[in-house]
Amino acid sequence: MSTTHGSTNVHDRAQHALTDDFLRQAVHFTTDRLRNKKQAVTGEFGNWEAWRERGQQIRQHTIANLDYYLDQFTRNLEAHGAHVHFAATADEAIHAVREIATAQNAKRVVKSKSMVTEEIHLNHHLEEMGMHVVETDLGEYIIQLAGETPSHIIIPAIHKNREQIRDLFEAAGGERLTTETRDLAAFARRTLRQAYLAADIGITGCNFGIAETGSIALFTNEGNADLVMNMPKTHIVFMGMERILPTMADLEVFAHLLPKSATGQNVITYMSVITGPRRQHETDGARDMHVIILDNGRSRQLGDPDFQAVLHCIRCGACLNVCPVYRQIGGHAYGSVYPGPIGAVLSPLLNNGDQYQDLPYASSLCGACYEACPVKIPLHDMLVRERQRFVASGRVKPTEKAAFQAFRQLFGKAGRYQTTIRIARRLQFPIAQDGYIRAKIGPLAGWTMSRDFPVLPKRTFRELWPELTRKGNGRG
Amino acid sequence: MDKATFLERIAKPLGRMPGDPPSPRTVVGVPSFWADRPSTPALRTASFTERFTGLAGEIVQYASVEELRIGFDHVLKDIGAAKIGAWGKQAPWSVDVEDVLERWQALRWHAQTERRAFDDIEVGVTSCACAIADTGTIVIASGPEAGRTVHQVPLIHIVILRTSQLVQSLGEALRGLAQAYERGEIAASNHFISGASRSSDIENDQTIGVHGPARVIALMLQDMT
Repeated sequence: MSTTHGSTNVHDRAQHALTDDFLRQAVHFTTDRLRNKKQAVTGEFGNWEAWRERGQQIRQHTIANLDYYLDQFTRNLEAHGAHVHFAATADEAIHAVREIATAQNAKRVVKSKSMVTEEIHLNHHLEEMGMHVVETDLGEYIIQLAGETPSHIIIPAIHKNREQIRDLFEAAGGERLTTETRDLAAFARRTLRQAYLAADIGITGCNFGIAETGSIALFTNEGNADLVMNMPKTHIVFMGMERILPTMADLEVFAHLLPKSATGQNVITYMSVITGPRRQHETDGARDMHVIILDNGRSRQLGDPDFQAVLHCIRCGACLNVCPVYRQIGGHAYGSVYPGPIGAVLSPLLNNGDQYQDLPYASSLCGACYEACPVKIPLHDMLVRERQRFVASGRVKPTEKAAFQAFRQLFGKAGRYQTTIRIARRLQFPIAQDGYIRAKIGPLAGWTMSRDFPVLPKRTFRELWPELTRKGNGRG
Repeated sequence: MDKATFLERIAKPLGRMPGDPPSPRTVVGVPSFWADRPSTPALRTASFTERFTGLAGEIVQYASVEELRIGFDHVLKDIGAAKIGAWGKQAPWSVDVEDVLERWQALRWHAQTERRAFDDIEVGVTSCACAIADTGTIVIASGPEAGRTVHQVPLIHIVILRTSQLVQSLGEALRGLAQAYERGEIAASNHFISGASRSSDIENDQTIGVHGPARVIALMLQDMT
């Protein structure tokens, strides 16, 4: 499946995704696996609700005082010799990278997985600058070779099967490979090791910036971020401005919450805490360290009682793994870098304009995302509020507007409602069969295309009520 | 954008002025039920061993330094590695294994090391700053004689430690970093390693050794029971 950013809307993209059996099977399998592992590990760990509560409290405090902690963080970073760049927009972040790369005369870049670099389409810009960019996370490497975008925050190549991966690796390396996982991973290790050794710049994201020490905490299972930071002479960190924690003590909470929520692991395989570039007399580690702190629409959420909490997100992807909509349509159907419930909330907030305004509708509002969120972000409430804002902006389709006006007319008065139901009960007669409507016509088609619609019963609850009351009284 | 303007854009909608102190914190770090758990040397050793092996780590415990040296020698023989790299002599080793490293002619890391000399080592030998019982984690701080390359590049990582280096929780190890920062001594890199390098990116099929070591072997001296 190719990237679907160019498609018209989430509905069309979802229709396309629903025809891809491998994708649906892979998404089901992966999300089930991650969800079950999370349940097992949090059950064993115990007191999970208390941990979630603690996570929420820490994130709430941090974001409510973000200016203070960002100031403290960047002062400490600079005290250890790192360079800090503040970027209000994606363009400013790209400009900062260009200046660093030009000053270093850099040609080759290795990267570890970072959603914020996906957000600003960094690879595309680096390639336009004439640089050779290699993604080193195995999943990201696969989708980079395929020319695609991630379909899951944590497992980006969820939609690729091993035959496709073998073909991509064979084309990249010019050697014959089997479809054995071990062979494919060994190819990636050999090839990417050469990329690390040749790179001028290593780019990573940042899971958490620790204000009290000016440290960057990075989590990976493969260990690729460590080689990205260690081998090239320059290390550039990209971070969303909200990725701050006040203290090392707070990091302990999130070192439990993040891997348990993301992949159901008790602990991440590698957590690197980097505090500045290499010290005097050290002969490995980057000589120069740059940290680019990005706003890109985040500050618009500050002070907004409805949406400030979206900045509490720690990008674990747990909401994707429980979402019944994500489960059916996968990540690309969202058409945004951030898929799933968090993507449906975040994408319209970070981007002005109409591009992602349909995403809040890609939800059943079941609230499973809130239950799964390790920092208790009320994503389902936010989706409703985004819909309200969309409607208030007057951008809804005239047909939808007319339908809801009619709904209000009919359901606003009991008499009108009763009359309508009586008429509908008669009208349904020609298309009702065995207690269901199956005809794929008219306004019901959206439902009956994939499910049967139950017919209106012979008597409504209101009509039954007097009889039920009599029976109840008779027994009592 | 300059820092002052950037921070002002954040402070203003939060109803704050740049330079304002933070609001008082109601909670910091982990809940007390986690921080106040009982911890004894025996519990820490048992928990570390269980967690570390649960992450596919291999662990051998020794009652004396001499036994550890002999065991270390056997481990290297079993591996049959041709090229071994190790921290330098002045690095913070918690157990003296110099004679074994010399016998195996290990390449040693020091302040004049060319990193590329270590690019093809098969086994990397290090000590550690501490290890965490709750999670089976080894913590390695970088330094002039403790190059990061030594444990990141090879397929096999051997870590030498003492049971007295075990702490109960991740929080204790992180507190150590905050204290090192206060003293102006925090290392540029503190690496928390929990098992072997792994990925499930190919059809959810877990594979090890994608970038970092595929085997992590802990040789632990029992100096505290």
